[in-house]
Amino acid sequence: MSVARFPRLLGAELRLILRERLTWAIIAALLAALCLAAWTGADRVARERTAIAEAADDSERAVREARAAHERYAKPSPIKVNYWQDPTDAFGFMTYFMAAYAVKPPTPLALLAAGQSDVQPAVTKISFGFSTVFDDTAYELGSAARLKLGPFDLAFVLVYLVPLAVIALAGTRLSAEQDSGVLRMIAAQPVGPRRVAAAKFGAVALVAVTGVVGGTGLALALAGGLGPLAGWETTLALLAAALATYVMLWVAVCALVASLWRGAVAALAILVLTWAGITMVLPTGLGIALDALAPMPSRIAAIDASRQAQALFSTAEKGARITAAWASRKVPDAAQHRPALVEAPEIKRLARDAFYDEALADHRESWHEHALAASAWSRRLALLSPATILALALETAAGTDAGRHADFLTAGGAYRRRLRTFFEPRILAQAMNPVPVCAGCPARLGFDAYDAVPAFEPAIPRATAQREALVALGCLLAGALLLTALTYRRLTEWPS
Amino acid sequence: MHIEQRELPQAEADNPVLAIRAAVKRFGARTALNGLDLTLRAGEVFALLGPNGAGKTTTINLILGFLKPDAGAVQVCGIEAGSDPVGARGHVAYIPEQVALYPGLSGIENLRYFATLAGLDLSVDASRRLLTEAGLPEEAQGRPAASYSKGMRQKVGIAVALARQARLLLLDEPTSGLDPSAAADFSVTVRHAAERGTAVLMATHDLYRVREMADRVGVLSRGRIVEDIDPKTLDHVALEHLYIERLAEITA
Repeated sequence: MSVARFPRLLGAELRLILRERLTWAIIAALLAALCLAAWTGADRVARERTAIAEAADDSERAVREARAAHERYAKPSPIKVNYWQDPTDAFGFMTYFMAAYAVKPPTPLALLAAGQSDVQPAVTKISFGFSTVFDDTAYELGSAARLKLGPFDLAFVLVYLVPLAVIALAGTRLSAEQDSGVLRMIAAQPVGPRRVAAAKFGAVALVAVTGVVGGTGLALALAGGLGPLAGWETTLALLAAALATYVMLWVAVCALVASLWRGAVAALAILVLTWAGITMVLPTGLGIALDALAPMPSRIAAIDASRQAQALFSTAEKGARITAAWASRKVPDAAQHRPALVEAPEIKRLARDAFYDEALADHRESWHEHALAASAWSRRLALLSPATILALALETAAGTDAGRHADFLTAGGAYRRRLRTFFEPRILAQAMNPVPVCAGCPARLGFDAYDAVPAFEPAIPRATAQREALVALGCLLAGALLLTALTYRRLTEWPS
Repeated sequence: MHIEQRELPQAEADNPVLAIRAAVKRFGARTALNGLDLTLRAGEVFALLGPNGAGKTTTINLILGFLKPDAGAVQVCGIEAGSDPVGARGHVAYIPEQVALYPGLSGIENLRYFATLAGLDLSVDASRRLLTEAGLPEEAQGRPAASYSKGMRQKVGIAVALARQARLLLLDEPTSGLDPSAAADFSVTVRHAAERGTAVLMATHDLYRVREMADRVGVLSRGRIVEDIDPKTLDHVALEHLYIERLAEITA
């Protein structure tokens, strides 16, 4: 049979597959799962966007109220205002008025995967209140493997359920024919097993890829669409190609198992075990390996250190000494100009925060290093399983991966320090030289740089997402080609 | 597609369609074929008799190229089946004891599918003509094959063979399980194929049909043909006696 006749054979196999009711039942079930997953994804993203919008509104409200209060108190009046009610006091504004947030906005492809975002917040309020010790490490990072069976998102359907659909579609091709005896009729024709297998599995790959990629597109459209892609078109195209390759890889697994000529029941048993191995056992093993490669620092030790620091500072004598040392470092001639400076609440608070930072720096650093190491090893180990490769690519594109969350927490901590760097000299200046806005005004000081307060700059990891999608495509393609080559090598003869 | 049975040129007709020479096939310690010799010319119907395990299925598998002989040669129309199985199968049509079809497809669709595998592009009309020629009633041709009897499925198998215009027809227990009327129809169809120049090799136990259809009968024992008989020289009873005698010798 010439190569030119292959399309005709492929067409015959396509007609055969599309005539089967099971094919349509599988596609319908898959489409329903994709739609449900896209809908839950859209709902989650909408909630995240709402939370971020509310945070922005809250920031604006805080500034608006501070301005109004500033205007109200900057006129002579008999009323008296405390520092925590006074936005002209830099410390008062920083601590009690300002609403600063670190945000992790959803990417344009956020519908694809819940990832870490199902258990980790996308918005963190940057606070200068009483509880400031571990704001930037408050949420423990887990490996992606631990979270893999969590939310019913598109990533779950695509990574875990799509292979089952492919197995249902392709798992008994050739082996069912072998059981029914049709294979002997096929084998008696002047055609080799490679060509027949290529046509059968090629046709099922066409149906499966169309069903999965088309179904995903349809589900996204029904869930409201992705919205403006803003430069994410390449990543989306790479992900679509990686998804198609993932489907083809599973078709290749089915073809390889069919080439063992063990019959339909054995083929299905082998395939289900392979599915469980690739999607569950291997990622779980990788999670255990991750724990060994990037051991988690002791949380108890960090909490203990935090308590010890708080206990030390709250001891009156020790706290005063720490505050005095900090103040003399910041304002060497403070004692001459304002001897009672160390008794000021704002100075005590700044000194306390600085002391906590210093006391817990090692713990903070080890947690940060652990987060980075866990993220790096997660990426490396993910390459060992097709399921984790695709899951990581989807989560990175969605911006919900562990690595991005680690970066987000680090950025939140850095933002807090940046805000303190902004306020600290202003607070010190006001403490050293308090100048009222006007005589007889309730406003006691002159802080009004509300617009100059640094804003958080969220990171959108577009380049990382594109790179991960490309890596996933390359790895899955290599895996699919390897399996196809193995199948080709095995299919030299029909079974006798 | 219109199927026309071609007349073979004399030179081509003289060459053996099937030539098995000193074929040996072993499965571990067991020898299934032990120097089998068999030559079949165009238009000849050869019946291969033998008890279970005598090597009938192994012979068929060698001709189809599913197995390679450990020694000797198996040629179909001059093509070595062991080294070029696809080429050899290009001249062979095979109808197994149980013709299995895709149950969800009709007779026409099954025929067109198997024809596509053989590299043919059969139209629906040509498929209908072939199925009618093979004896499948027209009203059954469009029905799913799941509803077909064994005889009807065999007729689809014959239609595939007709479409292929194969030089060699391999039949494995073709009449087992058929009712007498269907078996008689089948005999007629096979004889027609032989008259058109198709060589027929059938493995069977049905001595009655053997005498009706075959030009030659070979008794296969321990991997070789121990008797080559012209069935027309014996009546049914004598043929049966001879076969039982041979079986007794084999099992003794």
